[in-house]
Amino acid sequence: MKYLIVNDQATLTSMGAADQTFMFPQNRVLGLESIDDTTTALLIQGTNDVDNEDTIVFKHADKSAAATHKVERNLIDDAVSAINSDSRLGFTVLFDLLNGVKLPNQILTDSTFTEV
Amino acid sequence: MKTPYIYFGTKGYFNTPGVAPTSNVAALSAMTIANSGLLPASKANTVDPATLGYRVIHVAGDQVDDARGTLYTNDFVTGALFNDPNDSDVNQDDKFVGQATNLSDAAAFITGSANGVITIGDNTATGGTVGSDATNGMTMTTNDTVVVEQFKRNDAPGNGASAGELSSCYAYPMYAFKGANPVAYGKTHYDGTALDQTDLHFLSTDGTGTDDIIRLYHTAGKYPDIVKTLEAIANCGVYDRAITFYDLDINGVETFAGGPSLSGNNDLGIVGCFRTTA
Repeated sequence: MKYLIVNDQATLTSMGAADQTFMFPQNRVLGLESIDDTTTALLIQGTNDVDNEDTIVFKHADKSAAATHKVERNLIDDAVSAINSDSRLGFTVLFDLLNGVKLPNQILTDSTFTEV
Repeated sequence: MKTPYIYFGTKGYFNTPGVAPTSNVAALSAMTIANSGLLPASKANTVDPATLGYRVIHVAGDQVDDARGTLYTNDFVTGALFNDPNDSDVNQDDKFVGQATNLSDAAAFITGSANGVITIGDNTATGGTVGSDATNGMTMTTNDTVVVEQFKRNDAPGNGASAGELSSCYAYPMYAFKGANPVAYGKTHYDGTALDQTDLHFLSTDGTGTDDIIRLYHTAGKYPDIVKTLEAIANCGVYDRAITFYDLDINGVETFAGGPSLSGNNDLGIVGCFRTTA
């Protein structure tokens, strides 16, 4: 089993609370879906409530614009590739605001993690 | 545990009987996200349907003289002229059984404000609340059929995640796939193809004990091939991207998984693909 990590905090001192930094196994993914034209969500089984979902928000370019209309589809491919990654470390970082790590088609600003 | 992912774009599709006009207008039965994947935004009779991302196709179930607006001259499917030489008065406004008319004029129909109701005006000179007339209206009978078909990703069909947003898309890990259920449908596409419905059930993305349903309208008899296609995707061994089962982009370009061989063609005859919840 591989694990995935997200961090939506830019400073070390603010990484301790809920909705900030999180690690979860790759088999907790429920799906990915549109939130709006610049937002796609990765939904995973809730940590505090298994009958609910935690939400990882990926911001991206406007999919309604002609030049970037494929961005959401490509971002989903980015996410699937990362989720299924064969990382020998045992974990893969989906995004990390502190270290500027992100998916290729993601915009890091306003990408978030929210627990139920 | 790696798993393939399956991706669904959205193509709304609504197939409903014609309605005889009252006071020169005929309101179709209501579309919902659950029954068609469509909940169009309000459309006035000044808005060109070409801008909407969906079209309204009338299919004649009865032969009636002087029922179609004279603006419509050619069959949407065959491209043939409507003025049948066997017709007594050889006019293009006479409709014959099976003829498909794209109600492409701005004043042919209006749509309510997110109530899912398309109202079509008849072809009388006086018109009605739709504002149609002898050039752009359509006088229907109850034996006719109207098909509302999305033809590109757009905000007007109202099947985005929220108002004013482009049509939604969904991706699921194949371990969330619960089963494929054939559902009685028994309708005919505007090109004469008999259709079936299949519901694909997935564990809900909201984590609750319910399910998400991806509804497919497709060529009749394709249920076994749909099952085989899902089996092929589940065991494809592709882990670095999601496998597109169906997609429709903002330019109207469609992408298909294909049938069990994953050919990339529309082997399943898909005419509608949408999730029954927004």
